[in-house]
Amino acid sequence: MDLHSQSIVVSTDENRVFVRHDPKLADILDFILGQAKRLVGAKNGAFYLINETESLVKYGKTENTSTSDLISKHIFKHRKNLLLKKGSTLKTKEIVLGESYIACFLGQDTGILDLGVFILEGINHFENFSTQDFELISYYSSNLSLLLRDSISSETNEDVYTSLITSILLLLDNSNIHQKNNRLEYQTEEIIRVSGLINSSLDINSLLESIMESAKSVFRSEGSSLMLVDPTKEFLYFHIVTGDKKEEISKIKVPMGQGIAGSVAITRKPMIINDAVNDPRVYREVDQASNFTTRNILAAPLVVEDEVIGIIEAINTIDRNNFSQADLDLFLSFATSCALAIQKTRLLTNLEETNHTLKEKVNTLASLFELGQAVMESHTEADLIKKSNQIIANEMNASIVATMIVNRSKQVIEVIAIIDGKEEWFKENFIRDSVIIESILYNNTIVSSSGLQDGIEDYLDLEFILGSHILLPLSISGDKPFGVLCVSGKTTAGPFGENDLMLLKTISSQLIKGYENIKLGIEMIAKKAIEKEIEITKNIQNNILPDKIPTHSNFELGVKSVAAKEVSGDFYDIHQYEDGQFAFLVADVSGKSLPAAIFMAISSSIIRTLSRNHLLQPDEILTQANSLIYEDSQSGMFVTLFYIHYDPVTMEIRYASAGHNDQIWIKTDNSYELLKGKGAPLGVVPMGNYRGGNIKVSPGDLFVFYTDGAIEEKDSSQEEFGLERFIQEIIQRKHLSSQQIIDELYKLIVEYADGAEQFDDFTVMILKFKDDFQFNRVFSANTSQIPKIRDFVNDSLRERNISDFILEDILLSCDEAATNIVMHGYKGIEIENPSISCAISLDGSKITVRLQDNGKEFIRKEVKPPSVQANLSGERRGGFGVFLMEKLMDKVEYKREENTNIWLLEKNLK
Amino acid sequence: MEFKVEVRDHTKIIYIFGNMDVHSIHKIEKIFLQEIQKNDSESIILDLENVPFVSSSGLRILVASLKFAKEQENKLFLTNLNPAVEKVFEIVDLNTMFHIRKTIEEAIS
Repeated sequence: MDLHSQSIVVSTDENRVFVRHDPKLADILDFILGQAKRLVGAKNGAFYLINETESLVKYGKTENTSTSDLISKHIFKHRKNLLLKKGSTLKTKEIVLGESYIACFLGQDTGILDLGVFILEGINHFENFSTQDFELISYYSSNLSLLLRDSISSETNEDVYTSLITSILLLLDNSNIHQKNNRLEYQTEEIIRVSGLINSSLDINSLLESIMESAKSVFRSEGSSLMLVDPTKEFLYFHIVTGDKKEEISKIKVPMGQGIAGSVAITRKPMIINDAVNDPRVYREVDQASNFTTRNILAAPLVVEDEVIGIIEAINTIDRNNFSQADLDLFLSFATSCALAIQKTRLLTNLEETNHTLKEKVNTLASLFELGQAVMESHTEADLIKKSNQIIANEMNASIVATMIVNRSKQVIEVIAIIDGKEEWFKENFIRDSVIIESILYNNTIVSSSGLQDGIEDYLDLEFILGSHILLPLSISGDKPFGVLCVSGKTTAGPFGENDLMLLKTISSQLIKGYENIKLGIEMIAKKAIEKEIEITKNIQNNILPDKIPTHSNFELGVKSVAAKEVSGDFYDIHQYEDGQFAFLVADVSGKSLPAAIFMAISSSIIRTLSRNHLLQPDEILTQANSLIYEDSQSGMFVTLFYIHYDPVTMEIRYASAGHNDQIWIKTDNSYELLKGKGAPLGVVPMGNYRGGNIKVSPGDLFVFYTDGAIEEKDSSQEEFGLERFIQEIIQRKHLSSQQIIDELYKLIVEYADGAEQFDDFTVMILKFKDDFQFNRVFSANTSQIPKIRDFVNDSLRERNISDFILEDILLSCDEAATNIVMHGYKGIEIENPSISCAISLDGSKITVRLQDNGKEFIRKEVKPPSVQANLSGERRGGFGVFLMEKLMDKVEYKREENTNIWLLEKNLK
Repeated sequence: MEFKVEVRDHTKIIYIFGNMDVHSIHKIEKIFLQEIQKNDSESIILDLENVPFVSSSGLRILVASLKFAKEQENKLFLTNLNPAVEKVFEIVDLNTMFHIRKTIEEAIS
């Protein structure tokens, strides 16, 4: 044999080559396989080398021999390198690959040098060989091919083996460097890619998984994980786990501060632990739970807005023993990417939430604004409620909105609702067994995600509660609820919740305010209107009734008029003529309130004006009054009236009546007469026909005016007080003053009604006649009043058919008496309101004038008889007064009673 | 009370208007008497046609007038007295003191 036949690779005569089997070669191949496997972390590998018999001989071991055989055959045939992924199918044989393969052709593709195939089966910790791995092994393989080719022409096998090994070692170095370069490239690419991912629209979890997978691959570690701090801030929990053990690990929680993860989370500093097995800081529980041995750890914190939200880790280097500082530095940038990704997502989420909240708030505001408009525009409560229901239905996506208001006094509940866009409005009995009513009674707010319970039968509940619902009782600042808002029939997904309740509460508080305001507004307007009416009416009335009651004649007058309601339908009048005669009347107007008051004002002024005319008799006054009032009266209003003239001298009463009650004349012997007049109430017929009468009273008689309110008051058994009783009660009290009689009478009647509201206006006027001066007036004691005293006396006596002489004498005497009182009686003494009271009495035969004053006592003796001579000589001035007085009157009498001077001047009429 | 003065030849006629009672006299008394005291005529006629009423106060100033007239040696007449007023003069006996004439003409002549 020649030397050539000792070489590893042998070329044949047919220009083929084959590899000669050699134990040393097998070792070398073994070595090469080992290195190659280590280089890329392959599980298994083998050489398939061509032998003399042109079959491929396998050196090395693979799991799936048939598959690897097939692949190598294919590669050998096609002279092409392939990277096969796990799970892919070999087309020819329809086999699904259980592992990832790298298969490289050894030789030259020219076809001259077909040496064999180099195959790697399966990669540790990863699914597939990477492109870089493939490139590396391809590079490796092609160099190996060259080496083997060169070995054909070498001298000895020993040299061949040596140089082969040397070359292989060099190759390995080169491969390492190559690989490192590739790795750096790969890492850089990955980092760039991962950074780019952050801006993608991947959801956060996919994004984080992507990043962690990338980290695992970049750092060539068996696993990587991302842990987050839980909300309680006491634990870290696994959020993303990559690598084999992910199932078991995902459930574990690591307490803050414990384990590497916990420490990094607290210290915020990254850590490399290269001897995890022996390092006491490592949290053993994770390994225990996952049946895994942690050899080394690379950990970095995730910091977002200055807060540690978690950590990332890479576990167990694959192709080297330790994580390096360079790894750590790079790892930090991954940490930054994760942190950024999380921050971005948070911001986006916040933004979305904020947006959503904002949108909701805008909606709420819009509907509140709408409601505000509704409040302003609505004039009635019903109007407002209708509008409000619509707004609620729109805002809350409810097909049923009902506002129910209770009227407790009437035990009725008013329902204003909108159902599927249709308005409903009705009243129902309030007392019922209903969920809705109960919510009002007990002030229960209900938010329910489910519908009515079984067994509910009430119409209101059935009609207005459909599915998820809210019942919100309506009340005004803490009072009992006056109603309820019922919202149900949600048209969008999901039940009504707290947010809906809040919205409803906001709307309802607006609604209640608006409702209150409208009610108050209406009430106030009504109230104001009533108040105004009453004020006007009262003013009118006050101007109608007489202010002063004359007391100066031969009767005593008492009067009481009490309105049943605010405004009375009765009026009375008292008038004294100049000549000292009187007119009295009571009247009763039909109707109440403002129109009646105005009518009364008109009628009373007509009557008064006419009555001031002394020439008209009572029946004439009524006739004329009737015509005038008839003209003015509308809408059927009328006045009943009883009218009298009284002459104190003759004590005659002339009376007339317009449809009024018969008035009463009570005599001294306690008998009585009812005085009727003929004629219709004023304002009823255009031409009235009135016929009254006349009577003559005596001192001690009573004349009673009244309106029917006085006798028609009813007691609890609906019995009237009655005229008979009225008269008897007065007769019993005849001895009292007129006013006292009336006051007692009124009390009686009030008691009789027994607490019931006054039925009708009460008016009673009583004249009690006495034997007294018929004309009476008080004057203040100064000279300006003296002419008035004269006028008074003159007026009183003027119509009495007294001869002028007599009248002149009386007038002069009164003048002198009064002058004397003023000039002498009150001279030099201090008295408040010095006065002279002048009373005149007239009977058939004589006139008596009584003058009364509170001045100094008059001493007759001191009055000397007048002397003209004395006057002429200047000795005296005047002094004629008393003399004249005494000369002119038939009798002059002076009395001093207590501090009062009384002058009585009498003049006979014949 | 008011008065109006007229002079005819040597006669002063004072027309008096209104009641002569304590009240009306009060204000006018002084001026009236001043008029009397002027002494610018031989005789004075006080015309009371428009005096419906005279009380003692009125009498008083009439008497005072008379007093001044006498002192001045004027002749004083009263004319056109109302019956009521005349009656008063009679009662007090003043009708003899005064020259009472029915009309002014009478008095003048």
